[in-house]
Amino acid sequence: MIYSFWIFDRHCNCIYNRDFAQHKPASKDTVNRNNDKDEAKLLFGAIFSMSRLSSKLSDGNVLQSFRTGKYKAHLKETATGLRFILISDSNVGDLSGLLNQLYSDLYLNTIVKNGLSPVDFKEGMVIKNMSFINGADELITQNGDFI
Amino acid sequence: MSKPYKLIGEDVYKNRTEKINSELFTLTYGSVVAQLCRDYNNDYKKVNEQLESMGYNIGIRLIEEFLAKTNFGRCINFKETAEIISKVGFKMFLNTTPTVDNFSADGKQFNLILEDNPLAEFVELPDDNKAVKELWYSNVLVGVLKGALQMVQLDVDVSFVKDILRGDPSTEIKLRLNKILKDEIPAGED
Amino acid sequence: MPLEYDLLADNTINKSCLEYLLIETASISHEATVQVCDNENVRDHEQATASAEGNLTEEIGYNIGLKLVDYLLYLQKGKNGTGTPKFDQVVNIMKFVCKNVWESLFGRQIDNLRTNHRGTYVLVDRSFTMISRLDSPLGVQDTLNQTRKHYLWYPCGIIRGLLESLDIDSTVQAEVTEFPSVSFHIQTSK
Repeated sequence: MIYSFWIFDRHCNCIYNRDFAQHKPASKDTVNRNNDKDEAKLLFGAIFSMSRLSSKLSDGNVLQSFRTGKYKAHLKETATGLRFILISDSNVGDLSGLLNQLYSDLYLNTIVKNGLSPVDFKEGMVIKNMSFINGADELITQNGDFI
Repeated sequence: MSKPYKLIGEDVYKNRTEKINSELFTLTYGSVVAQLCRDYNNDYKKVNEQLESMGYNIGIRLIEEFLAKTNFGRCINFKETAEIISKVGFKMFLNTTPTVDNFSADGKQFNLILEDNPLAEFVELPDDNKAVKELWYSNVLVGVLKGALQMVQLDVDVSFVKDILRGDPSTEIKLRLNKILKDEIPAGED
Repeated sequence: MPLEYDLLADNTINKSCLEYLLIETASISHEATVQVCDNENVRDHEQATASAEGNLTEEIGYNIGLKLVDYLLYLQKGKNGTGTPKFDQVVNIMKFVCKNVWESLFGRQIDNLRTNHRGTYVLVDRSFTMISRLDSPLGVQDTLNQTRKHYLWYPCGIIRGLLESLDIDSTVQAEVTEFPSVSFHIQTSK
């Protein structure tokens, strides 16, 4: 079960957030609802600290996921400082393939190659173009680990 | 351990890109430069600036495509950066592999020598005796490199030093590393 | 400036280069026009902006169009040596635009060509590649507005320039009926 999808940018801001309700298509008003909440800040803080720790432990040691009793966080960080995060239940395996698709296919085509979308997000700006939102929903809900 | 960057570059270009005839791009770019020269009344310094600025905006997008297709992380040192730019970056987008030259002893500077430059194919500079001294026709490349590198935390000064369009023996771009930018940290962290 | 083409081995580049260049060209033409309007104290700002800007990107397209026929004919000869297309009747030229020009520039052919046989031609591209990725974060209406303002002048200019190079005067306008479908309305004197 995949619970939520987050993207943080190089300025440490949450530029995308999407919650997925269980077993039914989530309504569009759960998009970008939690970007400024404490949950976002805590999540980012945790990822940030753990990434730092990983690379201090050894060179090129990249944080990929971490797990608690109930949840698992899957992470993809690009060299440009974008952090793609999926939160799932604790039993889900490796979602790196899905994270790569979200970046290399979806983000690339609907944000980077979209002349009407910014690529540098100022404070408070979020991703809200429908091609991205719909594309992300499709990729995530069609993933084997979604339900 | 030296990675086979040349092979990676060739593979990405061959298998992971959509291709078009380079002349179309050359025609479009030429048209843009010509239009800028008209708009700025042949103030070539302004044209250079505008080309660099456009290049910067292109670079900050292009770097994401570069990373998406190659899955590279950040470089270990500037020498690696030079190798990756020339053998993978240029190959992947412009289908050409410039030579890395003049790598400085302090490891912070190098030149790229472009043997062929798709932007300038069959181009001649205006015959006003001014362009040949002041216009850097392919200056968009300067901006692209600067913008792309900025996004991976490398603050680099980039500039053309020679251009065969100006009668020089070669076309060369100089890259000098100013500093490595620190990653931004969230408020409250030290 | 006469262009002479050598037979280059593999003269292709990554399509993304052209895509990024066009995105950036659309951006700067908008900024440049706003400056021009401010400088000239134009009263009807909106309208002047739209038409002045059209001139900028349209000019860029126009310059490409002027050279395109030569270039495409050369490409054709290189490929399979079949006879040159007949440019005796305007309708044949339009077919050339719909097939050869559109295919080499935009990767697909025009879907529909209509004419009243009295100088009016309508070309419909149901999925115009230059705009198909555009999606404004402000919603569909903004996407349409921006498309109309910035992204349709370039292909209009290309068509106009191409016809001009074949001695045909024309006016070309584009309309987005249902995104990403675009119809080009060409009015010729012949």
